[in-house]
Amino acid sequence: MSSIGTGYDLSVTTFSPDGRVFQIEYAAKAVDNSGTVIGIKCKDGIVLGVEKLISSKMMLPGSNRRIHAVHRHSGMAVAGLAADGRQIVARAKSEAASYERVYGEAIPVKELADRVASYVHLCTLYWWLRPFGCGIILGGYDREGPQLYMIEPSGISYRYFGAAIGKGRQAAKTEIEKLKLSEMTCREGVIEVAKIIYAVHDEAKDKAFELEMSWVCDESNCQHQKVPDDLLEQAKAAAKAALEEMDAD
Amino acid sequence: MELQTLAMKDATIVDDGTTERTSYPYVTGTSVIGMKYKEGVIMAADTGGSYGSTLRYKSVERIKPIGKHSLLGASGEISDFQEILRYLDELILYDNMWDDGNSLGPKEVHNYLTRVMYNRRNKFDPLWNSLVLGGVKNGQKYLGMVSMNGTHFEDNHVATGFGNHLARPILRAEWHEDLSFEEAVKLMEKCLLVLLYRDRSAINKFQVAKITEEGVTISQPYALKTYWGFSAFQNPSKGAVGSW
Repeated sequence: MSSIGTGYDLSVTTFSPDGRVFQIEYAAKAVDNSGTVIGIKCKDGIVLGVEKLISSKMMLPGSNRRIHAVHRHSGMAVAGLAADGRQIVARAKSEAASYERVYGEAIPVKELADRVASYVHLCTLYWWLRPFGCGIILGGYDREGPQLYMIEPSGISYRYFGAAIGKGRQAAKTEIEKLKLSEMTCREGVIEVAKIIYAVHDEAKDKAFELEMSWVCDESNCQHQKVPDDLLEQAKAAAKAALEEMDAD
Repeated sequence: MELQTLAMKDATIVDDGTTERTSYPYVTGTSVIGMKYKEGVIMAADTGGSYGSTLRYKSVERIKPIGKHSLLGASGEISDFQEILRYLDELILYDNMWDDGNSLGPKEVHNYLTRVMYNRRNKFDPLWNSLVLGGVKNGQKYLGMVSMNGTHFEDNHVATGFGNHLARPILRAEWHEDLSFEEAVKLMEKCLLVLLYRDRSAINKFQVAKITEEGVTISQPYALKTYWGFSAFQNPSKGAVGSW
């Protein structure tokens, strides 16, 4: 889809003749160029995974966190401009804390997704603000069970059982669709997410990457946390093995 | 706008246009006692909430775990204690969300509480509590106290309210390093018994809490055996001087 705006793309408050707001579409491009981020909803929880492209060999492994806890029961993985993402995470944390202060219970995931989406949308309405250049995958576990939402730079938010954004999203979505998520536990889901991320990583274009994963599930006591180290290693080993199998064909 | 309505809530408006803040406790808890022992820290308090001289609430939990490494016990205004628990809850939440393998220890929580209490006192709007904060982190035991005006200190044994006058002398005489858990509980119960006899706001329903490197245990409420059969208590009005 050719998206040269010529004249209609200078401000986020300008529509093009065919009803598009080009600035928002350009913001989405920032997301499309970042490392792949995947989220899946298994039968007992959510698993989030990020392909963190390493820009410099001197970076400490484990730094540059892309998945952030937003409250006890939910976390979000950010793709796109990292600084913009930091702002959104801070806002989400603040919304969650304020909801708990007023209502005495943890913010329902749907409500949190709505609030984050409204905030992202807010920045597409004024000419003196630019849209956020990041896509968010939000996963949480509340009274209604585990839920997964994706929020785009336009402020759209939908609920998914499997979502992918970033460079390898097309391939990732195809892989996710093959999985039988409703029968899978999060433990199995972690292995599958690792396999998908390793599979969609483009060895030619990008060099190294670090895999970061988190989950909220029955096993983690409905708390959002990094996937435990031993399970993460297991998942990486399984993913590498699967990759070698594919290469061997 | 919000600040104004908050001020209206706390303050009385005097006729000449000025405002004053009034602050006195309504529902209060009595003494809390804490001491270090071999594996960690032990803390005890009764479960009573007095409304002036009436013993109105008899199942108030005045000792709560904070994060992974600390226990907080409070005497004084119960609603202010609940507010402090809210603040600490948010503090611990934000600490957990870093998800970096680190967590706030008792020393840090004690310092935070000191700041909160002192700042409120400077605004003439104190949180009417005496707080006992105990915990263990990385093998280091910690026990401290903060009062409602922000005075804070650390010691091997602490007590609030009447406990300062009745329990601490006993502790000064009989506490020593590396008490076993059973010895510590015995010593604690000795202090609690004295308070039960002599403090009118104490009730015979106690919770004893302990914190070690492994975690927190708060006992179910239980009662101590008391003895009232002293001969001086028989026939109490025998030697009384009366007008008729």
